[in-house]
Amino acid sequence: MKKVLMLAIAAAMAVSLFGCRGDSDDDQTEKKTPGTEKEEQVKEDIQLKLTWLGLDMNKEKLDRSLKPFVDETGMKVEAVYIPGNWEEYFTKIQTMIAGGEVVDNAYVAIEGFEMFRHMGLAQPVDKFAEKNKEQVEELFSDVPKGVAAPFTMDGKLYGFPTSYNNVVIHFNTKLLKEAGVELPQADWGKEEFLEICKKLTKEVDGVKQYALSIPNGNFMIEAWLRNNGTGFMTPDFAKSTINSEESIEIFQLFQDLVHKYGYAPIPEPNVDPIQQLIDGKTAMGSWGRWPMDEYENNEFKDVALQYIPSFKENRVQFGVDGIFVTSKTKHYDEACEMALWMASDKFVREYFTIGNIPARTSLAEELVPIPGYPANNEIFYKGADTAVAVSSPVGFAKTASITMEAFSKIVVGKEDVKKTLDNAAEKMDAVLAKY
Amino acid sequence: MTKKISVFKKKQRWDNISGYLFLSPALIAFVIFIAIPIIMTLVLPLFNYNLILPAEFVGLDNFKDFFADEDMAIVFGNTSKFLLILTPMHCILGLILAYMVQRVKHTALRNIFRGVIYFPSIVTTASVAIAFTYMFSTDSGFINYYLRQLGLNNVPWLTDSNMVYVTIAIFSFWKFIGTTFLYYFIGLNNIPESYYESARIDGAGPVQIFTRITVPLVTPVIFFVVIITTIGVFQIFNEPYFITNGGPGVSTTTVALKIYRVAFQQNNIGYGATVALGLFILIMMVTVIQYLMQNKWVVYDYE
Amino acid sequence: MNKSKKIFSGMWHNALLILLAVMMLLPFTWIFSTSLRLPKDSFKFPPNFLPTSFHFENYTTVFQTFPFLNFIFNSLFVGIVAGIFNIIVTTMAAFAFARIRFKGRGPLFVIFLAGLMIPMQATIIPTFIIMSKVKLVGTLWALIIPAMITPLSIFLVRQFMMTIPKSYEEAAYMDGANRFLIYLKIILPMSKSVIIMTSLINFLFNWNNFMGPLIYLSDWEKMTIPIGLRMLQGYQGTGSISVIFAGVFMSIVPALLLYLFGQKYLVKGAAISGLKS
Repeated sequence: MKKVLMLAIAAAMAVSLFGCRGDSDDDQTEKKTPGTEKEEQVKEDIQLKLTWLGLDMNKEKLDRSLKPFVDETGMKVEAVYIPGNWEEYFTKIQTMIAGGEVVDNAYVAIEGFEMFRHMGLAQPVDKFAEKNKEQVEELFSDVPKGVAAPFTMDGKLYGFPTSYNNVVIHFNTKLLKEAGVELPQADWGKEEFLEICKKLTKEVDGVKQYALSIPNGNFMIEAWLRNNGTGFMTPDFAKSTINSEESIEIFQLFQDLVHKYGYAPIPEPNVDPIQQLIDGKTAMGSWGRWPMDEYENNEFKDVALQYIPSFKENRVQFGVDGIFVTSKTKHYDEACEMALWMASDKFVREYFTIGNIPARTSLAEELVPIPGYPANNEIFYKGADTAVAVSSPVGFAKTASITMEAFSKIVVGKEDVKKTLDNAAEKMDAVLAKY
Repeated sequence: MTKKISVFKKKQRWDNISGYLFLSPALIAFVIFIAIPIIMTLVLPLFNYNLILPAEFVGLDNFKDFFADEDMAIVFGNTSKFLLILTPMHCILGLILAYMVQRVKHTALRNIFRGVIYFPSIVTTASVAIAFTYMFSTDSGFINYYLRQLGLNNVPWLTDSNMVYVTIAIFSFWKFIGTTFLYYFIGLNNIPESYYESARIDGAGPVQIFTRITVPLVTPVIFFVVIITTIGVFQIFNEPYFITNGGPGVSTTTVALKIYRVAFQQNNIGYGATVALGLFILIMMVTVIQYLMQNKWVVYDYE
Repeated sequence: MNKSKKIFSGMWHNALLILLAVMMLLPFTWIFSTSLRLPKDSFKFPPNFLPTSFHFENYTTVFQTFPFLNFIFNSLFVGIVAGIFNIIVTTMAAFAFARIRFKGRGPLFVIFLAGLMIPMQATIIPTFIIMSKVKLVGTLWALIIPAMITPLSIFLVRQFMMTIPKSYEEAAYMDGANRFLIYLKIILPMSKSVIIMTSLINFLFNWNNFMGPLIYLSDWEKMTIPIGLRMLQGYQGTGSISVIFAGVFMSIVPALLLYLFGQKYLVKGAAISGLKS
């Protein structure tokens, strides 16, 4: 019996090791042959598989928006609709591809750009862009330079931009009025901010009504750091700056807003800060354009915008997304064609109606004002030219979790800010050094 | 004589063949889904692997990282905290509850109690955990509302690194006490009524009967429950995932949650397997210790 | 005097249990009544644990905005198919362990039992790799196939089968029945209650399994209920509480029905199988 067991163990070890190796071989052979089969196939037979992050829980809308492409080209498109958040979504794509599914196109946000490239999941679209120069140039002439820049990595173009989001402060104007507070100017600073917070904090029937929700997410937190002239890391992702003096100042402010001043509640899982703003339980929050979906659903229109307070400067931070062509596709030209089509007026107008800012300036200027609120909605897209992208290194999943752990320790657990951030910086440097 | 032996031998051979034939589906499944995975868990920590790029042999690097990673100490500490809180809670309160319900004279009432206490343990943890976070919310939850009505302050159920353990313990009691309760309930039913009768004649009160008669007689069930609960608590995942998201900070991030984060959110399969191996070894050690200690207190033969 | 004291203590005893029972049921009534309210009424104080309004559109919203029917179908599919496979594998193995004296039975049984100790997290990474090699990641089969074998079921069914007297079998041998017929016609029918019990346990485990679907499933049309509910919560918890609770409540109903049907088996089966010793 023992012998049988030992044999089984030995066999299993061999299988497991062989398994790992076998996979890598697959990768290489597949990489060499993108697009070789296309000549033999008629377009009608081609089916493209697209992965999509379902933030809006509305797959029908996606299918509807893709239909013109299907009608135009005769190709079939299978959209794999994956709900969740970006980090979960990236993991899912990786597991799908690792599991042998052939994905042709992927909807990717900036947080995943470097990771996609590093993992060999993305394929440059330069070859296609050369052949279709006119269309591609037309697209990029309409997209703010800063927003388009992240699509070029190592001198190669990866994918086409569809939409972006920045982070600004949303105000519940009813609460502003009640407290007799005017909407601040674009250049409001820390003191004015704290003053307004004080006026907006009160108690109604024993329940506290807070001035604001602390930004509770990697993207939003870094946006606040930007206005103090820093970020989580250097622009080349070489070294962490999360424990820089400027960063400590902002994290200290977050902690003080909750624990010292009592202007903000402790962020809790499952307490939706957007709903809190709508319900009048908080007066301010910092988000991109994505709360618009929820505003619409709640028929909530008492909202106004302003930039995040300028501690040192006013530097808008954005996150962009677009359509990538994967390295696994067997239909390179068709996949590129679809990616470009999805960046066009036809798709963006249908799909990115409310929760995002269309990457094309022409569309942003036309579509963003349509709902009729917030009154100063141009803040969503103005300043995109000078905007800076959210830090998105190869190891984003890790750096983001380091940030959020530190944030939670500071804001929720009241831990010492400098010590916590020093520790986070050390961990982050270790991650950044790996790639 | 010789003929008889050969018949016996033949039967033995038949037994061997048919035994393995009947066992084969389970054996195959066992090898593929339990044996091979365990062996791979021993091997994977030697590699840097992310499912996509080729696996890279890194020797003992993952183990070095593991022992240098201060989060690991915290995470294993958190799981141990849950072990120390939840295991005694389920094992002791489950028994007391079973005893109390079993003492209810009215049959229908007893069945209702049994049903109600057991019911939460079969509903989907994910869904009721979602509901619980709304109940315990600091400002908008109704639990704090009642505390405020009593003139108390808001309790930071979800935002204080110590209080969250209380919150999760309350949830765990509500959700899972039925499981241990049912095991005990069945065990108690096997105690002959005559034991209780004679004790009562001797003038023992309910507490005395419980400590002197009930507990000693159900030690095998207690042992079973302790083992099952321990293994279950070691794997605690849903509660921190839904109720606290592992926070505040990392104060409720359990080993199981960490494995998920490392292996499947950060795609670090090798390191994830290292943590899983650590968990496996820990569970094995604790279970073996419990098993060795059982003859000190578990009495099997009480008849 | 003695008697009145007894009744008094009995009253306290029952009162305490009634209080506990009410506390244990309150979350369910709260979930149900909240699922029938408008989101804006969900957090009104004082809370109301009984329905105050009947907005059944929350339930239709669940079906309109989510492939909730798919979720239900997928969960049922996994639970039932895995359950059937599991019964076959479990009863055959238990039969071998309980009724056949073959070489290596003792050690093999111990090895199987040791499988109980192995945490799901220790096997899920390698199992995931295996599943990705056979291209089952993203399909329900990735959940069904590993669920075929559960050491606890084998243990419980084996314990039960041990208690069946040998004489049944021997009589059948006399009539010329072979082992398989004995397994199929005699032992299986006699083990009905313990099989139902282990099947219920397994079904509930698969129905409630969250980590497996979280890791294996991505396309939302293929999701099971627990992971689908997590999606109802939305990105950063932006889902409407009423709609979430409507989904939560619907996920509870099948468990409730199953429970009402299977309660007596759960108790009876567990009682017979091994918990005595």
